[in-house]
Amino acid sequence: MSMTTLVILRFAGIFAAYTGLTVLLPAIMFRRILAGRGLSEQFLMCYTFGNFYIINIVFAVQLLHISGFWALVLFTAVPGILIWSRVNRVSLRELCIKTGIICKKILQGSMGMRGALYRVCNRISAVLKRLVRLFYYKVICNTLQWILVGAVIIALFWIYGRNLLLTYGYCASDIPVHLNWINEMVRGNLFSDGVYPFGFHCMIYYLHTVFRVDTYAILCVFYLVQVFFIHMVLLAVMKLLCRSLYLPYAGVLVYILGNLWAKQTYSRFGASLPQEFGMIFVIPSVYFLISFFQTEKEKLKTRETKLLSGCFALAFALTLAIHFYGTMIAGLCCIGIAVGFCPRFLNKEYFKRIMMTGIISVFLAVLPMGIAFAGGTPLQGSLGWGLSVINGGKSDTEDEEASSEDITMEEMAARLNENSKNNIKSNNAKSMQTNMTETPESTFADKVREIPEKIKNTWNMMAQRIGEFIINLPEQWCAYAVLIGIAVVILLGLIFIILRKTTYGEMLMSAGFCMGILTLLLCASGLGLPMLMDPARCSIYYVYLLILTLTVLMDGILYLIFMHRLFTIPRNVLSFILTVFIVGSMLHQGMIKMPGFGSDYVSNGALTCLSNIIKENEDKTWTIVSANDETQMGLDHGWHYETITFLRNMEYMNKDTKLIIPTKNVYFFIEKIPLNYAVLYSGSGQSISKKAASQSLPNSGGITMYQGEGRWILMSRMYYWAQAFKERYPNDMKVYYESEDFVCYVMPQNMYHQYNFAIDYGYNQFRTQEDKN
Amino acid sequence: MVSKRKFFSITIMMFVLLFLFQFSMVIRDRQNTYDVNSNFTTRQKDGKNVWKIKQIDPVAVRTTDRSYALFVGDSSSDMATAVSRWCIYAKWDMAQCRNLEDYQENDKALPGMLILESEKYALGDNLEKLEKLEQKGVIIVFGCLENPKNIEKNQELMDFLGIYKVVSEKTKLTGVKLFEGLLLGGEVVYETPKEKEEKERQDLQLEIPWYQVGSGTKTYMVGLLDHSKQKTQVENEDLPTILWRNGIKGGSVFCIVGDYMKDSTALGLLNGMITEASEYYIYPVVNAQNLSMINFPAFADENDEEMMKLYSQSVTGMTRDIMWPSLVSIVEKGKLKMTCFMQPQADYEDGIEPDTKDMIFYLKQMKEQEAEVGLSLEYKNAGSLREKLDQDADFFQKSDSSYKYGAAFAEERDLDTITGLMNTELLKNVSTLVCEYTEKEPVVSYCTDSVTLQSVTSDGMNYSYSDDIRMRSIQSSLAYTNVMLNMHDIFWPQQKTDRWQIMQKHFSSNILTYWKNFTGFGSMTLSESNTRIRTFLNLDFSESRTENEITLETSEKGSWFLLRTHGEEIAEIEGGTEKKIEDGTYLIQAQDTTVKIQIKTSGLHYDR
Repeated sequence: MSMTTLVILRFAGIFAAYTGLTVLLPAIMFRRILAGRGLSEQFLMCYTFGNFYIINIVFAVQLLHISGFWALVLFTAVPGILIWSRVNRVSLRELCIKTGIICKKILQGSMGMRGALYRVCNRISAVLKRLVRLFYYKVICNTLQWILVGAVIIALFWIYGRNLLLTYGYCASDIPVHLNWINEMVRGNLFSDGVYPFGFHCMIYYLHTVFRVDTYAILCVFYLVQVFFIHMVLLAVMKLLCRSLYLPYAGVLVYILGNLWAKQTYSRFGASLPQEFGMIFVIPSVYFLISFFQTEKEKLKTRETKLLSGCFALAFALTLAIHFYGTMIAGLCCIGIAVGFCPRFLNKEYFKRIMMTGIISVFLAVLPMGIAFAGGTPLQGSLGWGLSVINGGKSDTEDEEASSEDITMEEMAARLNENSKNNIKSNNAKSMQTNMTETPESTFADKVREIPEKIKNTWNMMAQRIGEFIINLPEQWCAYAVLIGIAVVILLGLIFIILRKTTYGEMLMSAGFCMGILTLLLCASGLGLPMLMDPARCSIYYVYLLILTLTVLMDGILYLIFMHRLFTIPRNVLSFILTVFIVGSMLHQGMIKMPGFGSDYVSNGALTCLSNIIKENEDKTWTIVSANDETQMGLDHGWHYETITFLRNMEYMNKDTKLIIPTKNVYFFIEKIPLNYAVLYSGSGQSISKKAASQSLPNSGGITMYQGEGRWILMSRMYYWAQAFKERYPNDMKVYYESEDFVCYVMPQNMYHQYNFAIDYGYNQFRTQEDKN
Repeated sequence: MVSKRKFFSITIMMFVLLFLFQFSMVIRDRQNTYDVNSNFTTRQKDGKNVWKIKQIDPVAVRTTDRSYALFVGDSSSDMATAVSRWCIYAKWDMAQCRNLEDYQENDKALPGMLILESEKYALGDNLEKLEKLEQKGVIIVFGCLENPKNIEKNQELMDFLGIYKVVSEKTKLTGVKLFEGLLLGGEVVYETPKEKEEKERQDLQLEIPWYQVGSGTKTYMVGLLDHSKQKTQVENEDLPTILWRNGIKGGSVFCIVGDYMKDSTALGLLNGMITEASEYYIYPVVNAQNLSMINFPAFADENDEEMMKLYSQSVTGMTRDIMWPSLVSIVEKGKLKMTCFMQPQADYEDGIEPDTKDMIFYLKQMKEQEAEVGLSLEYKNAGSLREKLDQDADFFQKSDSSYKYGAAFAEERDLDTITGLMNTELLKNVSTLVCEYTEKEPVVSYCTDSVTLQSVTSDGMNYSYSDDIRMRSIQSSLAYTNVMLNMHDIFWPQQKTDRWQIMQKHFSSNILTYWKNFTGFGSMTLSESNTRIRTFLNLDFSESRTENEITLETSEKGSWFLLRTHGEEIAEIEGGTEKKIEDGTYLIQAQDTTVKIQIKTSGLHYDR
């Protein structure tokens, strides 16, 4: 079997498991409640509940220290069945009695096996008929829409899915940390490194424990599942907010395919990271809040409103349980929505309910963390830092080292750009300050006269920021167009309110205000506001919500033109034409994204070898000597030895030096073209050489010796060690796998009499007795 | 009352049952061609075509068309004899010299292997010469490290041998551990057990110098220590090393502590060393597993008084009713074939004559067991060997049997006499002789041009640890074994242990324990084995490898080879058959003169 097939099978399995748990299971549990709703709303409700359900089950069993396969299965199944019976009004007692009677009849012989089978077949055929009917009404009757859904999925797999097949390893530096935390959960240590939003980790842990897939394998492919749901949720919300049928597809396709967006706004989609997982629940919380505010006052006490506010609470709680950045954005969006729906928000009935919902959602999310904190677990480093930022103590860029947040190369480039510009600006500001000290103080009239100039400067600064972090086009007008678009949405909302389409208008205004607030967040440093979030990170959410805003803007314009009910069909036709036109133009103009493939952290060879080693060997009978994170990747299966420790142990060796690795097989991972591991240097991409091997071993801590030039030296040393060792054991040490950039050697050992791996390989210092003297 | 009808039915049923049970027995008895030796082959002068070793002059070696081994040391020593026998079996030429100075190095005709009788031949300039040869790819073997003092004071020699430290010049071992890889049969521990009976097996050299080997070495055999007597904890890696390889820049230096290279044990060790030093190694083997029942069955009720006292039966009764059933059971469990060397009588001067009445019974029984009947030329008391042969001839004539005896057992001391009597009436069909284990005779060889000699490799009743190492070594080298069970002591007991119940227990446990790892080789009778030995001794072969294809050219169709790889597997074979013996070891039969072996390219489960 090829690795490609394996990766596809792994993805298919994890996608099916995750979708089954988070969409199908709630769909069965809440069938009666969901009946009669649109597919998009059903999907949003199920998905939100499904994730909340699974994550909190994991929290519960972990806090009770009873976590394991059976505990998770029981905690999923038992409440699931109880909810299902209560919601669908099925008496479990009656069901049991009925089944018991059938069993009794079969045992007594009054019902033959054929009769029982006939009943089962009847039941299955009824379910199948219902499914066929559902398929007919939902798919066949909406062929065009499903074709567009298909196009969205194809686009998704084309842009992000190819990476799955071309790069088997992680695409973010921080995944080993998350893997470590999940592995600790397997060993019963929730919050092993301190209290942290563990929603993402809970989900991966659940998939690992219940479906018996290695955690490293899940983390390698889960990013595509995440990306799929990020886009599906966006599509579903846009479908629910828009009045035209097809514009949401245009919005999503432009988001996926268009190269209009700066690279760092989507580069993180290639890695399974908590922030992106948490991002999925920002838009559902926005939607459920808007839906809540769109509810008439008279209907506030109905079950439907409670359901909506409940879903909002779950979605908001999920953002908090998974990643604080998502919560920040969701919180800011809530403020935007509150401004958009100002009259209703300030109404006592709405205010009371929404505040209560907010408090409950925060309580739900914080409860597991609070219990752990109360139990004496300290806060994780980045959480303490995050809280200090919220309290105004530090800015986002001030204490990057304290944060264990993961960054991609594109983000890093964007940050560096931002910092250099900030430096220039601060220098300019300093020089201006010096100049200003020389000039006399301005009067109030002067200040008033400066206001238009300041507004103009701010406007230009905002456009510049958007041009820098959001838009990938050289033309500056695009950035202005974004700002104008946001203003137009608010204006359009006002027009609709005037035209008595109040809730729709308020929704548009809310979208505009949300984007306005996010623009302030993006430009915080330029405006002198506390920088809650790094602009590079903020830009990811910005583009995501901008797509929503621009789509509702387009939809609003269309709706304004074809407002009358009679014009529904022309509106839909025009929306379809617009969709086809937009996507067609993008394709025609070649404005399609070209995402970079490849991992700077793990080579494909290393992942191929690891998968094979786990498959071929008995657990705990092998050791990998590498500079990667095989410690955590193969934790349940084998052992790991750090390359740097291996080389340091024989750096100043003598005849007494012993380096024994007590496992049956020892594998050595060597990159012939060493990876940079996120640190570029002048010789990046060069292959190992004698020149590198002759340099002294990097004398640094942490993982810095595995980055940039240090990795080049280490890999060169390892390569020449392997050559020297192979000369001594030509028929024992074998090449296990070799590609252009990677080689893995295997050394089988006699467990009773193991090899001493410490040898004089020509680049270490061998000291004889005479030298010692 | 039983009605007539029912009575009739019962009778018919009983008759049918009787018929069904007896029918097969009658048919089997009728079809038993007991009088025909199905393994018999006519005696032919194949020895004329035997492959002969070429003795190369080490002083003037110019070019060689095949690999050769250079032995440095006393040419009349046991080690020299063992090496020369190995060369014959491996089809290598051989050169011998007294000192390394006598050898004139020629890069165009370097030896494949250089065996030094001891480390004393590697001192001074010789060590430099050895280092050069080793760098050129010659496998260096130190047949016996004799003097630890010589080694300890010579750091360069220690480095060359891979010795890190000489811990002591003499240390007492509790046993020896042989790791898998060098010899076939897997890992084995020869530690002196606590049971008194088992203690007798320990005959290995247990007082040896304690060498600790350094990095770059691979150990094949270590000595075991009594940890309670050690001052500090001794790690496994620091145990006294007995047999190891030092790898220096692709070359190999093998060192042995003890006398393992001074008898037939050397055969397998040398093959193992070449395997360890090469990417792969293919060499000819016999592929025969034999079981020789010497002096069984007996036909004369000799030593009757003693037999009656011990077994309450005469010799013939005891042989038939006690020994034969238990032998059949052991042999079936061990999946071996018997060759029974009949002894009509042991004492020809006691007046007790053999009785032919059981002759047909045994022939039939043996036919059913696919066993062969041979002649035992051993005797207790007779005027002369010729006289014994004449009397035996009379006995076989009286027995009214036309069975052709192809194999005969003789004591090593009588071999010369017997070769002169091979044309007598009784021995005219004998084409292979079997003699007890002795270092005077090779394991397999031509006794005359038309008669082969197969030495017994192990005594099934008295089996020691050194016997086991030797057996494994011979198996590794020749895929050959010939286990002997001599009944003479049972019929003429001298001590308490010469009882059938004790002997049977020993024999059974030995066969079923020590030979179980070699069931992959072919079990056969001595006449079948004789055919294979002739093929083996006569054949010449060559082999070559390109990428993943090994081409084997052999002069004899039907010859057998062992292919030893380092984990590589056979994908396909053309012109022959293959059978996996153990990991990385394959038994190949050349059905054609050219055999092409495709080696599997190492594929991963999840490939790119």
